Formats: sequence, C-alpha cells, structure tokens
Amino acid sequence: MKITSVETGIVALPNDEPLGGFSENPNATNPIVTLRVGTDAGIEGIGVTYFGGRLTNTLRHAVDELGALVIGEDPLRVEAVAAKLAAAAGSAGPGGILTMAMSAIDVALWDIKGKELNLPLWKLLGGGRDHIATYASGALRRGLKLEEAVTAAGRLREKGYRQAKMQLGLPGATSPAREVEQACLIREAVGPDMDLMCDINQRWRVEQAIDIGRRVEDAGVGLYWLEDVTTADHFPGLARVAAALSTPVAGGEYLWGIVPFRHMLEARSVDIVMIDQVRSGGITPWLKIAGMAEAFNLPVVSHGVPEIHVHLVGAAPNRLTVEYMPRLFRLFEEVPVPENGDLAMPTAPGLGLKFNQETIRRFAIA
Amino acid sequence: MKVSAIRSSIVALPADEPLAGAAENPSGTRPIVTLQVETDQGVTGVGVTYLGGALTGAVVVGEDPLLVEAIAAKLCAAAGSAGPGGIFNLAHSALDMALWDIRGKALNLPLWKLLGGARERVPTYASGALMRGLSLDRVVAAAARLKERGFREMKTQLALPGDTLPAKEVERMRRVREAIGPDIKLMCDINQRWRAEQAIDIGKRVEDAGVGLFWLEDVTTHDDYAGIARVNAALATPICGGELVYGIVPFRHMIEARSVDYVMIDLIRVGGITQWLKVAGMAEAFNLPVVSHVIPEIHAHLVAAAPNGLTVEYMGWMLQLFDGTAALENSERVLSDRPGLGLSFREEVVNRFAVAS
Repeated sequence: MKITSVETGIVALPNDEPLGGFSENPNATNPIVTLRVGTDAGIEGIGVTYFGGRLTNTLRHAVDELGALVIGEDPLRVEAVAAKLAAAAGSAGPGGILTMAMSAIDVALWDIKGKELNLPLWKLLGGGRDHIATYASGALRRGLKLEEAVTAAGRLREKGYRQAKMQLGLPGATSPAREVEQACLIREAVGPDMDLMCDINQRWRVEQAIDIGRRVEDAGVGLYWLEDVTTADHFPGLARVAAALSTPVAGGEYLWGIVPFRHMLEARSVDIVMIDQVRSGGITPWLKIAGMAEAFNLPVVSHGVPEIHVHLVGAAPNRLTVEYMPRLFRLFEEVPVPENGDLAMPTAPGLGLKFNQETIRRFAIA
Repeated sequence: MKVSAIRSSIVALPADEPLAGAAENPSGTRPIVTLQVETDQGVTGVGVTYLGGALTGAVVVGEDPLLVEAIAAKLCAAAGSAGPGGIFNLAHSALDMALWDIRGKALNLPLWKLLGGARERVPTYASGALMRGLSLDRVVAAAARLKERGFREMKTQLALPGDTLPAKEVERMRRVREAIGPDIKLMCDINQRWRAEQAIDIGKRVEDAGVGLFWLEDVTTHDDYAGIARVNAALATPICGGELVYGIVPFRHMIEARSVDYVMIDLIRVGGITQWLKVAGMAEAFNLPVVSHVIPEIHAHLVAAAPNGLTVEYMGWMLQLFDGTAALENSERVLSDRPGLGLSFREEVVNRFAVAS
C-alpha cells in the first residue's frame, strides 16, 4: 500500500462546555488542524493536531510540508515514516511544532493500519477489555464562579459520571484557605463516592503544592490525584511534592516525545503518568511511554481527545482512566459516549472516527 | 521606542568551507532566515535563524524592543503550546537577537560590553574544516593548512561513515595530531553517533594513543544525560555537550546529571541571547566553562562577555552574509566598538542567494 494524498484544513471550534454547562470563556474558539491521508488501496486515515495557538497556520503548514514527504511511502511502516520525517526536518525538533505535526500523520497512519486489517485500533494494540473508565474534564475549571463550579459538579453526578476533575491554583486574589474551600464545596457537591481529580496546570511552586496539598488532605477532600502541581519539567521539584503528599501526583501531558518521560520517571516525579498523543508525537511514541511506565510499575492516563485515547488507554495493561474532554466532539460524526461512567470500546475499524463534514464547512478557517 | 516593522527573508548560502577549502558537500546550500526589526526611532536590529524556522513577528509590532522578557512571555503565550522547543525556539531566537541588537544600538554600546564584557579578545577554534566525510589524506592536509593559517585550536570529527573500526578511528586522530603538532588544541565531535560503551571504548583508545584531545563532544544521544555522565566519569578527556538542547531547563537536567565538563550553548536552540545568558550563568554556578555552537559573528559577543567563556566555535557558514564580523587575529576574535551586534546584512549576498522574501 502507498500513500497517495495528504489534505489538511483548520477549523475553529466553539469553546463551549457540554458536560457541566458552564464555559469558562464561551466566546473563544479552539483551532484544530485536520488531516486526511489517502492511499492507493482506497483507504483513508484521519488525524488531528492542535495546541498551536497563534502558530496554528504554521502548524498546519508543517503538516503539509511533512505530508508532501510521505506521499509514496507505505503507511503501515510508521517507524520508517517517523525516521524519514525527523531526518527531513533537520534540527527543527524534537519537540514543538515538528512533534505536533508528526503526531497528526502518525495517527492517520494507525487509522489506515486498523482499516486495512479491519480491526478497531484498541484491538489491534492488544486491548484486553471492552470498556474503560472515564472522567469528566473541562466542566469544573478555575475560571468559573464558585457557584457555577458547584452547580456543574452536581450536574456531573446527576449525569452518571463516577469520576470528575476540578482545578485549583485559582485566578486573582486567592489564598490556601480559599483553595481548600473550593475543593471542599466541590467534594460536597459530587458526594463522597465520586473519584475527584484536581489539576493545578503548573500554577503552584513546589512549596505551595506541598502546603496547599497537605491542607486539602487534612480537610478530608480525598483527591484521586493532584495533577501538574508545578512546572512540568521540574522533575526533582515534582518528586519532592510526590514524596511529601499522600495524594497521588499525576503529570506528563506537557512533555515532548519519549525521552523526557524517562527523565520524569527516573526522578520518581509522579505516581500516575499522563500522556498526550499530540505532544508525545502520536500513537507510536504514546505506546512506548505506556510500556516504559509499565516497567516502572506506574499506571497511565490520557490527556484530551478521548475519541483517540480511548483506544490507547483501553489497550494498555497499566491503564487507569480516559480524560473525557469534549473539545473536539463536534468535529466527528460519532464519538464514544459514557455509560455508567465507562466508555465502551469502539467497534469500527481503525480509529472508528469520521470527520463531520457539516462541522468542517461551518467552522473552517483555512 | 517601539518596534514598527518586521522584515524577514530566506537566503540559501552556498555550503562552501572557507577555512581550509575542503567542503564535504560543495554543491549544498544552507537556508538562513534573515530578520530585520525596525523601530520608530530609526534604529534597526538584525537577527538570523536557521536549522528550519520562520516567524511572522507580527505579534511584537508595537512592543517596546527593550523589554525582551515581556516580549518572550507574550510570544510564548501567543504560540499556545507550540513550544517550548522546536521551531518556536528557532523563531523566537531570531527575534530576541534583533531586540538585543536594537538595545545595543539604542545605548550605543557593543553587545559584549553591554553584557559586562569580561574580555575584548576571545579564543576561537576552526570548525567545519575537518569533517568526517573527508578522506584521511584530505583531512590531514586541511588540518595542516589550518595551522599554517594561524589557528591554534581546531575541531575534527570521529564516528566515521561507512565501515569503521576503533583502530581506524584512532589512526585518523593520530594522523591529524601528527599533522598539527603537539601545541594545537584539538577538539573532536561525535555528533551523537556512538553509544555510551563505544564512547568509553574508543575514547579510551584515543587517550592511550596519546592524541591529547582538548574535548570530546556529543559522545552519545544528547538527552541521555545519565549515559553521557557515564562516559564523562570513565574518560580523562573533558566531555563537551549541549548544542542540541532546547531552552534553559534541559541544561539544568544535563548539568545536574554531571554529564559534561564544558557546556556548549547554541544561540538558536536555546531561544536567543536572553536565554543563552541564563544558561551561561547557571554553568558558572556549577563551576563549568561555556562554549558556543556555530554563528561566531554573534557568539563572540556572548563568550567574550561571560566570565566562564572558554572559546568560540569559528564556523564559516554565515560569514558571507554579514559585514562587521569580529576580526580574527592570532586565532582570537577581536571585538569591535560598533554598537549592538555590530553586524549588517550584505545586501548583494541576500539578493543573490534569496530563495524567499
């Protein structure tokens, strides 16, 4: 099989929040680069990449430039394609836009592989279960008013979610007591039985993370994990927090490629390894990191895009849960929907996803 | 003062080798992005980037060019998560460089002096003239030529292409050393082509042959900090590395792992002059000297300014692109009093080799 065409576009999807109903910033949009890879066998693979901010046009251009190089290649040889692209990019990587662009291509190639073999991706990857835990994310953000966050938390429970993520590291004038209060009120709203995660998004310093994290523990909030407690690449600092708290510490979504994960794991920075398929460079490196985490006896979780990550977390023996973040949902015709707090594994071959043409027409900006 | 306009272009410079005259790939070209940042006061700063980047720069129009950290924060935010690292750093560094050029010109100070210039002459070593792709005879002849031309420091490469053996690697080093005599400082770059155990094995053999290397560089995969530290602990030869590292934080990891004796900082990958200086300061706190990677036209300022600056890599890639490159005397760069970077683009070179504007 040979790759015969590569086609990209950009859509700016509305930043609404369908899970809890309160968007932090309802007028914003999220720019997403879409990719279609065609083959001489008539099979088409799709991929997406994002996080480009004002450089999204550059990111799309990078996918186009790399895409031109894969025409004529065998889409099943993902490592050969990755090596060719890395070499062609000179020293423009690893990391940054190159890695984000390579991710979209890698995902599309895995989609092709699944379709060629007529297997859903999770099964192709050896997945040993037909459903996987998932948690509501993006509904309890720090930019919401306290009442909104509490209302949204109650809604998540009503909708049957068994796991949900909130955020601390509050904007504006905050204090340890204010942070603890937010956590207590959200815990009250979701009840004692829900797994409650809390994301700091690198907004604390190490000593703040230990101080506030300990106070949240003492208040009996019972967090399932505390995430990105400080600067993502401060591996010894994260390790200090992980050692000081009994709450599990999660991290990894900001790391590029596979090697920094090794440094993070060797430093014993986290209890739970979060892998982002865009920043890690696609499915191929995602799987390597998950395997390394297994060798360190650590579970893996995903960051964003549950439509794709459901396959990867579902296949990994050391899987924990899939972040249910609906940001890209309207881009696809059909997406996995939780039942009783779990996601059923998809049955269609490959990623099992199709771009929603109407969404693309409506929100296309390039 | 405000930034009023950003102009960039791409030139594809011929990949010749002006130092010793033996280019590995004489018909190749090197694409360089040139950048000019203009201000409302008529002061213009120049920057370049290469290794693959371009930046619209539109985001900084209207900003005060002296506020380099504020601009860095704005660019980081605008780039979403397209950084740190990769093309974002490559692009940001061109802009940061131009802002420092403007600052120097606005204050009427050459950059090396503005940065606290520890000295006005810096040692430099010939680089790019003794590459691994040259035949043994040619590399030996080129090494002798560099010595005749007055270079007192020069770099060659090992991890030879094709069929090679530890004995062949050692023999090449021995012949090069023989050609230049005992008094020339000789560096050797592996460009990440060895595994850690190969680096220890061949490095030890080169030591035993009495070659006397000044440093051995990028001995294995650059981000295998533990592996590099193992090589460093096993060899008496000083180990150098860092040119492939993006941004300031990985340098911290590399230095904390005791991977290298000499910290090589690449202005483009680290994210510009602002970040280069931070890494140099951190290296000083770890009692380590710093050296530069490529673009001696600009690095001469930085290595001269740093108290722990050791030597400047004299790599001729962009020499023809600029007027105002620091003069070479007795294997040293002599810094000038021209303000800022002291450089201007040679319009005729830009016009002749432009591949994009």
